[in-house]
Amino acid sequence: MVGGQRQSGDADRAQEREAQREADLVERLRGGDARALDELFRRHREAAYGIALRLVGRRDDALDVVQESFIHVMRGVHAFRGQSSFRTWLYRIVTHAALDYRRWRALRTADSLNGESAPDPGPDPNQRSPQDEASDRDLQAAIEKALANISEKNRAALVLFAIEGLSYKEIADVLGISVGTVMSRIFNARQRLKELLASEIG
Amino acid sequence: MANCEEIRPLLGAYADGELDPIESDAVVAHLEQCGRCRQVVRDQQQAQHVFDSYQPPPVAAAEWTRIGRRLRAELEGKGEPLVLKTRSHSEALEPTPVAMPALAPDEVRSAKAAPADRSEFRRDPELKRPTSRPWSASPPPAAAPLSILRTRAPRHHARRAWVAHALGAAAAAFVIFLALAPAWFVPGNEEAIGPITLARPQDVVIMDVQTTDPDYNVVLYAGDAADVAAIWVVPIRQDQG
Repeated sequence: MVGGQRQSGDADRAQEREAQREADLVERLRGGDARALDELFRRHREAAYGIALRLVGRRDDALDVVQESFIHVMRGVHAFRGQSSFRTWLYRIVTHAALDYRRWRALRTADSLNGESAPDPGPDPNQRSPQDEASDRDLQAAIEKALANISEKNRAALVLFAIEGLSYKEIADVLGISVGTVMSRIFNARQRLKELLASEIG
Repeated sequence: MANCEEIRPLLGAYADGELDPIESDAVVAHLEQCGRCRQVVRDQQQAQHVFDSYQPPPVAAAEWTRIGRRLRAELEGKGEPLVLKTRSHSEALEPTPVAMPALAPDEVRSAKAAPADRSEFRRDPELKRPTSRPWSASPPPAAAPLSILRTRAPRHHARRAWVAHALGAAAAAFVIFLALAPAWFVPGNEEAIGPITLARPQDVVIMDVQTTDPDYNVVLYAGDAADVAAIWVVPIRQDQG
């Protein structure tokens, strides 16, 4: 019991130190410190990519979104006052940038089809690496296809929950919606995923 | 005992451990009696498991290095102009009912890649402040380097096009007014930022604006929020045939 409390206390202190470290990095970035930028980018780029990829569906587009998001961070860092954590703020930027990007992409597809309703842009199979192709390729492809067919609002909530383990409260902060809405969006996203993948997951 | 309709919206959060103890107890009591809701919980868990099993394609270290270099250039003020895309903030995360356009990301990329050719986007000395002439209903200059600006209305619809331009410009003025607030505005969140607040001279911000004519609802804006250079309402879709 005592050991458990000590561990919990250690974890809290580690978390505090981490938050302080991140706040220092943001402060240094505000002052134009390139090394702080590198460090923040290194820490958060994979998570940003994971969110962007699941929202835009294409690897190259996701990397564009990550780049654009970090430029937004640099330009907007003067407005960041630490009301939310840096990562919550970053994920909000990534989510909106990805949805904007995806929308333009989808509209382009709509135009090329002369106004017919456009399917969601699915991931480009040519962009997949050989390693991925080797590991249960069919299910991966089915998941990608299913994700593209979940509404963007529901998908955004699910992605934020699943990728970075954000709590419902944090997701509500990122998306600017209530916790109740987060609850229903995640529920609906998973019900839809289950429907779309019925044949794969039984 | 609560019925299924009351319990159903809580089942996803129950599966995620996100309910408070009172709600959780109510769900547990219901699940003991209801096989259908137990199945919904299993479905939620299974769908989450499948989602978690998705492996994104990896990113090579060289690509991260390339992006890191681009970010450093931006920090040092040597970055290329950006092409920023946005919606009016009231639409953030909401779908637009109008079919939207023809902005090819390839063209956007080519705009990014050719900043040296974009002198037309430099500030017009006659346009001192946005209030003096914040927008123009004129078609984009013929020499505009962005191919996306070359989209034109069909000739036989020229008159209709000008009417639409005027309507579009009026709508644009309103949206620009809104857009001077952060596009990603979250009520009560002072940290909201958006492409308009982030734009710098030489950048291009592409905003969609819904007008009364769905064929004319893209606005291009070059410059920063404090010193608008020009805004164009651009027809977004050629007539069929």
